[in-house]
Amino acid sequence: MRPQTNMTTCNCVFCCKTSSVGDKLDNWSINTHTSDYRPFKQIKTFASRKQEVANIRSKFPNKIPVIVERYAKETNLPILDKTKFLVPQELTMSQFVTILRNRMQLQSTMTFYLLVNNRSLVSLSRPLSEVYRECHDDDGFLYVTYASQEVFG
Amino acid sequence: MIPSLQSVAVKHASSRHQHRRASSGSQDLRNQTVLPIHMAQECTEAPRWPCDSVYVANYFEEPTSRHVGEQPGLPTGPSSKLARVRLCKSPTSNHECNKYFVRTAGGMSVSVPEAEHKQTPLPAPQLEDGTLENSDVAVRMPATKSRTSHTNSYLPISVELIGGRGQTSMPGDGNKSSSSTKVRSLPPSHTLAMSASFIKSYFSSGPEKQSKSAGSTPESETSVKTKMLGLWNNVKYGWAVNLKTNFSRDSPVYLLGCVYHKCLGEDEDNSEEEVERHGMEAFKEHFHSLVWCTYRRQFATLQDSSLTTDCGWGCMLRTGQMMLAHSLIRHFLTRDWRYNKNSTQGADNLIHRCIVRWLGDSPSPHCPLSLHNLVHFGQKLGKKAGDWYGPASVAYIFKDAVEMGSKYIPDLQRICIYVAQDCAVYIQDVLDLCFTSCVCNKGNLIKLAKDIHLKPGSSSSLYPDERSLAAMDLAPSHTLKKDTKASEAKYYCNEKPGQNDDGRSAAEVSINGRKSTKESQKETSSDTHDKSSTDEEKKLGSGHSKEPCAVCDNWRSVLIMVPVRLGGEALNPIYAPCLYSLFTHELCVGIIGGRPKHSLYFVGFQEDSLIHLDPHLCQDAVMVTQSNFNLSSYHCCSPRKMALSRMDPSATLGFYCHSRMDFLRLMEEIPELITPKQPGFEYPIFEFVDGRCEDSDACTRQVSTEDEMAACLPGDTPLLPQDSEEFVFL
Repeated sequence: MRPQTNMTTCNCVFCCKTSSVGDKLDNWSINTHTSDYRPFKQIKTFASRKQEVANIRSKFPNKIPVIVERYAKETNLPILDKTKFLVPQELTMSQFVTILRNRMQLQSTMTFYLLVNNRSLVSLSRPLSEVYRECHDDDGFLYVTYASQEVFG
Repeated sequence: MIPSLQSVAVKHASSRHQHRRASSGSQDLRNQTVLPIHMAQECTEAPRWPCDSVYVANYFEEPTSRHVGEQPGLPTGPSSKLARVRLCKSPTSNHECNKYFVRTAGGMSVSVPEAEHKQTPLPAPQLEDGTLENSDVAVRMPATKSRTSHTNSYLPISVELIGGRGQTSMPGDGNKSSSSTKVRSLPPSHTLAMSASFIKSYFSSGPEKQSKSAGSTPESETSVKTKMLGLWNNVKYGWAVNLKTNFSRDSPVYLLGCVYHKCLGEDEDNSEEEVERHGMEAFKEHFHSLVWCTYRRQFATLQDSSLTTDCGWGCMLRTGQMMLAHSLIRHFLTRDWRYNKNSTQGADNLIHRCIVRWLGDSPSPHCPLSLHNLVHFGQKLGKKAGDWYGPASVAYIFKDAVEMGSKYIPDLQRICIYVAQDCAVYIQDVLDLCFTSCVCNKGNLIKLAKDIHLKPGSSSSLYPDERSLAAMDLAPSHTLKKDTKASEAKYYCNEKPGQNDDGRSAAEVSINGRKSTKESQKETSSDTHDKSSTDEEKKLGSGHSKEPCAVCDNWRSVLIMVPVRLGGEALNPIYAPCLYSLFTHELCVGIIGGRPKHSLYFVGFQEDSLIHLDPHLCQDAVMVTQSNFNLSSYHCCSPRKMALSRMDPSATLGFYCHSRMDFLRLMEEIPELITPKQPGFEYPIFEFVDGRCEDSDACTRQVSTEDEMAACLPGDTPLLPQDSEEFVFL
């Protein structure tokens, strides 16, 4: 989970503290989190992540480093074998979605949504470079979560 | 006898004596397994009444209490309306009557002990010493007494309600509470009042209509029985008690594109017409007109399972049915149609009945949108009966169901469903889907509808035989009292009998009518419909077939369903204005979604609350194949509200486009509404995209392969830093 400082310093509206309800829910999700999958941010320190981004950006200035993780409570969608992606910056979100769908070999009737910073759906026609500019993390990665839909009874 | 608030108040006097007995009786209950449930978790057990011994349900009201309840250490504030309910049934069902205990986490209890108790009025409640016994309140239900001897196995003879503060007794510890080591807090009087009103409101203004009837006739006993059962289901599935919803006087109420205001109808200076169209009465009428689908029980067994009910799992399918039903009503009866429960005559009522029949819970081909068929189509998506469904899967299921249903029922050929993938509506796909051969002659209902909404008889008198057929289709299983039936049909359809037929066609009427009725008796009506429709096309359609039709524009009406996810854990508040504005647009047919794990059909809003229809009420299945089945359980007269902030981010938006013009209008007007107004973040919720879905897919695939190739070029790995090996190049 994001450190509190990041939430307030990021200029992105999705990262801002939007409501107290949301905060509570975040805590709640930590409590009930049972999977042994560890988020990328917990594996590496902030400094090493930043270093990594700096390295890769210097080698591939036209590519965007993206971390794709499964939503913590997701159960329908499979876990991707890789989490780190280098994406051409002119790729649109919809193309990115299609690539990920193909990687997971999802049927067209399966729902698949990308959430940036665990908050919001992003427009699918926008190029990734724009999304990166607005929503990237302090360490330089763009964090993207994928999820399907909840079920109801 | 219906217990009233007074009876609750008086009888809690007898609590001490009776509760002792009740608690000793429930001693063995506590030794059973009691499934622990978490606060925020609603019941997931499938209801199998007669055989299972333990039922667990959970019911909570306030959004805030959910978080508090998660942590055992935190006491729930006295003001929170948290109410956990646990239901247990005793294992012995032979001699002793079955017991059910509705128990919330600690605090006050209202118990309904076994019926063979003698009724001995006892003096005042002894609430002062705070022991376990005295903190409980018992209520007797004398009306269930006589049922004990020949008790139905799923009749809850005894119900104990324990409500109140949740800090002392927590989810899993119902078993050990009998040890009396725990001293429960004294019930605050307000919880007592709350529970009393809980019961009172249920019995006095429940959704079933016979609530007012009192007396000791056998009928009232069964009604108490159904009520007890209904009460049980209500608490189990979280169907909120029928408390009166308050609508603010100051702000308007929006309901599916119509606006209503409470001020109208109270002030005298408003014009009568305005009051009639926008007052609160008009709102109620509109809400009452919406088809309400709920859990049903005791219908024909579902395919590949032993389930005869969808209680506890089918709510998402029900909300989908509601949305589709509303679209169908719009298609055949226009937006301005209002349900009048007193009138059963007239073409619009026939159409309405027919639409409800399509949704009925029966595997018969007359019910293409029945739960049975929906479950069947759900198998394609890997779902089976008893599973929970998501808003998107429901959209795909209905798409298939309508497509398949149109093979059996020609009327359904006039409408189709488009499901947006990845939040994009591909315009060319919609156009391809909707463009069709002329639909003017498909199905019969629209003829009936025209009779009402255009000038009666003007356009439709050309095809009298079809219209009578329609009437016959409406009563498919009706045996041949043919002459009366046919004449009735004529009565319904032809308001000007002299205008329509020349004797020859009248003969055709009866022939066709007979044929169709007989065949449908043999349950081979699919062929009937196809045959009759092709016959008609041969007879009538020669002039219409190839050229574009001026009337229908060769356009099938389309229900566009857009599955969305508006946030991660909770609904992202930036979308709130968009959702509100959707309800103000007349092409929107609502949103199927819900609060977490609890599906609802959202139809409107006032201020920051959404107005919804809740399927979580278990009702008996209605035999819709009978010609005059009861429609009253398919309409709800009590609108409910829910704060938008509680809405689950997963939902499916629905838009109904009757004509090509409607679709163009949708493309023009909706993007504005669904775009949040935050500067710099004008991402719409979904988009209209030119072209076809496959094209863009293919295009993307090309891009990705090209890029993969390109990525290989600098991929001489020795030059790369160590870390970059982990990256996937796209």
